[in-house]
Amino acid sequence: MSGLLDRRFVVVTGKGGVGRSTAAVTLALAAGKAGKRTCVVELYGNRRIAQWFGLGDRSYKACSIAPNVDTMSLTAMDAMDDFGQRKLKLDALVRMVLNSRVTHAFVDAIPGLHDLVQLGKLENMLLEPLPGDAHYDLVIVDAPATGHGLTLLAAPQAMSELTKIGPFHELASIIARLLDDPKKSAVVLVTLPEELPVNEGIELALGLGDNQKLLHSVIMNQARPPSLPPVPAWDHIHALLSTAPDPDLRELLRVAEPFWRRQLSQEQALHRLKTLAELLNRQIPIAQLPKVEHGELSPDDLHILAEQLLPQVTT
Amino acid sequence: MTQVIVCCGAGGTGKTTTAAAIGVKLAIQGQRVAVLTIDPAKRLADALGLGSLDNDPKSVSLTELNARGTLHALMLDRKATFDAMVIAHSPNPDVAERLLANAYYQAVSTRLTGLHEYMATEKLQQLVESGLWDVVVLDTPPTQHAIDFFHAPERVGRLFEHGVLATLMTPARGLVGVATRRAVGLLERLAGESVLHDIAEFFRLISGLSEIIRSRNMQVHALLRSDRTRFYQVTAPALDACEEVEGFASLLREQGMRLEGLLVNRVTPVPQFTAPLVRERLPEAPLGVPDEEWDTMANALLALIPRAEARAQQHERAIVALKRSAHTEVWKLPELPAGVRTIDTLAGLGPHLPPLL
Ligand SMILES: Nc1ncnc2c1ncn2[C@@H]1O[C@H](COP(=O)(O)OP(=O)(O)OP(=O)(O)O)[C@@H](O)[C@H]1O
Ligand SMILES: Nc1ncnc2c1ncn2[C@@H]1O[C@H](COP(=O)(O)OP(=O)(O)OP(=O)(O)O)[C@@H](O)[C@H]1O
Ligand SMILES: [Mg+2]
Ligand SMILES: [Mg+2]
Repeated sequence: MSGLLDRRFVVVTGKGGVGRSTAAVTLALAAGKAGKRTCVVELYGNRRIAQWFGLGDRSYKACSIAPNVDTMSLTAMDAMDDFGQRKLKLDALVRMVLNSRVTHAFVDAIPGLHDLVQLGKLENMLLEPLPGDAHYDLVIVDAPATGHGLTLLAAPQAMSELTKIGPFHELASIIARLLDDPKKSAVVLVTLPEELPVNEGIELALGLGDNQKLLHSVIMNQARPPSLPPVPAWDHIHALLSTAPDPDLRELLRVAEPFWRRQLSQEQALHRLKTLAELLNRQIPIAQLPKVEHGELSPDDLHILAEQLLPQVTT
Repeated sequence: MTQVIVCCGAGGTGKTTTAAAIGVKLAIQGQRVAVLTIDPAKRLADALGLGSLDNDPKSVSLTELNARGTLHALMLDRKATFDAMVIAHSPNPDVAERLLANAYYQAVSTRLTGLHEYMATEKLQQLVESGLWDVVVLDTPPTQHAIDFFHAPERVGRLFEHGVLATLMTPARGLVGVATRRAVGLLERLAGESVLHDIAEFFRLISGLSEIIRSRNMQVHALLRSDRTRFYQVTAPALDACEEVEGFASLLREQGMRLEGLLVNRVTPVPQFTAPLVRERLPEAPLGVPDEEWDTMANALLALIPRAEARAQQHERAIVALKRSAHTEVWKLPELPAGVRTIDTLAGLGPHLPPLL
C-alpha cells in the first residue's frame, strides 16, 4: 500500500457498519505516526470518532487527538456557510439569506449538494488554507455509508449534469479536478472477512465509475488469526463428533463450528478480494485490521491498530 | 386488515435477514406474507431460492417447510416506484409524461438522499392497499442512524407536498416576500437560471399531485403509528450499540410508534457441557485423519471452549445493558454457524423470534 500516505485526500468508503470510521481514524493515526499532519473528518455531523476520543461537541472545530492528528465533524450547513463566505465572498447579511428557510429547502432539494459543499470545505482545508488555518498534508474523510442515493464521490458529476453554469457548477469542477488526480486523491475500500460484505465491497468498487482509478487499496477489517489448524479434514471431524454418543462431544462441535466457518469464510473472502486486482488489471493491496476481541474500542486499541496498519501502508 | 412489521436498526446488524426470517415464520404459521427488502441482497435472493428480486412480489417456494401460508419477496426499486406513483396519480397523462422527462425529476428520482426511504413507505402503502397480504414485512435501508429512516421520508414528503419551492419559483404570484425574492436571486446566481427553470417546472407539475401526495403521506404517517404496525429494532450484541438503541427506542415512542422488541442478532450461545471436557474424553482419530493431525486439531478444538465462553459472557453483558437501554422485550437470535444460505437456515431462526401472531 505504498504511497497511500503521500496522497493529500483519502476517502474511506464501504457499506454501513463495516468499520469505515475505525479504518479512517486508524489510518489517520498511522499517518500521524509517519509524520504527516493529518485531519480525519466525519461528515453530516457524525461524531463516532469524536466520541471515541471523548471530544463531545467540541469536534465541530478541528481538535487534536494525537501528535500530528486532528479530527473534525463537519455539517452540510457549516460547509454551506463557509462556501458563502469564502467562495462567494458574501457578507454576513447575504449569508443570512443563504441560511434562510427558503434556501435550506432548495439546498435539501438538490441531489448531492450537501455532499458537494462538504467536499468543497475539505478541498479548501487542503489546498487553500486561509492565514491562521491549520495546514494539513493529508485529509482523510470517513465517507457516509454507501448504499443508496448518491455516493459522495459521484456528487460532482451529478452537479455538473444538473447545473451548467454558476458557482455550484464551478465548485463541482474544482472537486472533479481534485478527484481526477490519482496522485492527490485515493479511495480506500473497507470490508469485512465475510462473503456478503466482500461481494458488496467488490460491487461498490466496480460501481465507482470514473472514480475507479482512485481505488488504491482495501482494508479487510476485523480479521482474525486462524483458530484451528488448516487440516482439510473438517468433514471427517464433523461426522465423528456429530454422531458421538457423548452429548458433550456434540456440544463441542456446536461450539467449534462457527469458528471453523468464520476461518473458512475469511480465507475465501481474502481470495475473493484478490480477484479485484484481476478485474481492475492493476495491483490492489489488501491490508488487514485485526479484530479487537474485548468489545469496546478505546483510543489505546486504535493506537495499537494504527501500529499494525502502519507497516502495511508504508511498504 | 394487513398488518405491518418493520425491521429497523443500524447498518449491517441483520435487518434484511431478520425481515426474511420473520416472513418465513409467518408464512409457516399460515399467513400470506410479503417481504419488502430494500437492498439488492443477492445472497438473500439465493437463500429464498429466487434468481433475483425486483419491484414486484415473487413467490417463494415453501414446500419443504410444510407452510400453511405463502411468502412473496420483492426488492424496492425507487425509480420504478416513483415513476409508478407519478403515472398513477398525475391529473392527466401529459403531466406524467412531462414530469418523467424533466431533468430535475431524473436527478431527484435516482439521486436525492432520502428518496429511497420515502419510496419505501410509498411501496409499503401500495402493498397494504392491494389487500393481497395478511402481513407486510418491511426491511429498512442501511442508514448511518436508524432514525434517518423516519426523518427522510417526512423531509422529502414535505418537499413535494407543499412545495415551498413551487410558490417560490412561480413568478408574479403576488405575495412573494422580500426575503424570498432575495433568496431566489441568490440561488439564480449560485445554480444558474436553467436549473431554476427545471426545478420550477418540476414543482409546478408535481403540485398537480400534491393533494394526493399529502393524503398518502398522512395515511402512511397514520399507518406507521397505528396498532397495525409493529417495530422491531435489530442490533448486534455489543455494548457500544446501547446509545443508538436507546435513542431510537425513545424516538419511536415520541413519534407514537409501537416498539415491540429488540432483536439482538448473532448471539453466541453459552456452551453447555455436562462435565469438563478433557482430551481423554475425545475419541480416536476419525478415519482418514492421521493421528498427529488429529492431536493438534483436538487440542485446538478444546481451546475454543474458553473463547466461546468468554464471547458468550460478553454478549450476555451487552444484552443486559441493551435491554436496559431499550426498555422493551429482548429476543436473542443465535449466530448461524453456516451463515444464511438457504430457506431452512432462515426457518431455523423462527423459534428464536417473537411469537408474532
Ligand atoms: N477491528 C475491530 N475490532 C473490534 N471492533 C471493531 C473493529 N472495527 C470496528 N469495530 C466495531 O464495529 C462497530 C462498527 O465500526 P465503525 O463505527 O467503524 O463502522 P462504520 O462502517 O463507520 O459504521 P457506520 O455505518 O455506523 O458509520 C463499532 O462498534 C466498532 O467498535
Ligand atoms: N444470525 C446470523 N447468523 C449468521 N450470519 C448472519 C446472521 N444475521 C445476519 N447474518 C449475516 O450478516 C450479514 C449482514 O446481514 P443483513 O444483510 O441482514 O444486514 P442488514 O442490517 O440488512 O445490512 P444493511 O444495513 O447493509 O442493509 C449478512 O452477511 C448476513 O448473512
Ligand atoms: Mg462510521
Ligand atoms: Mg439490509
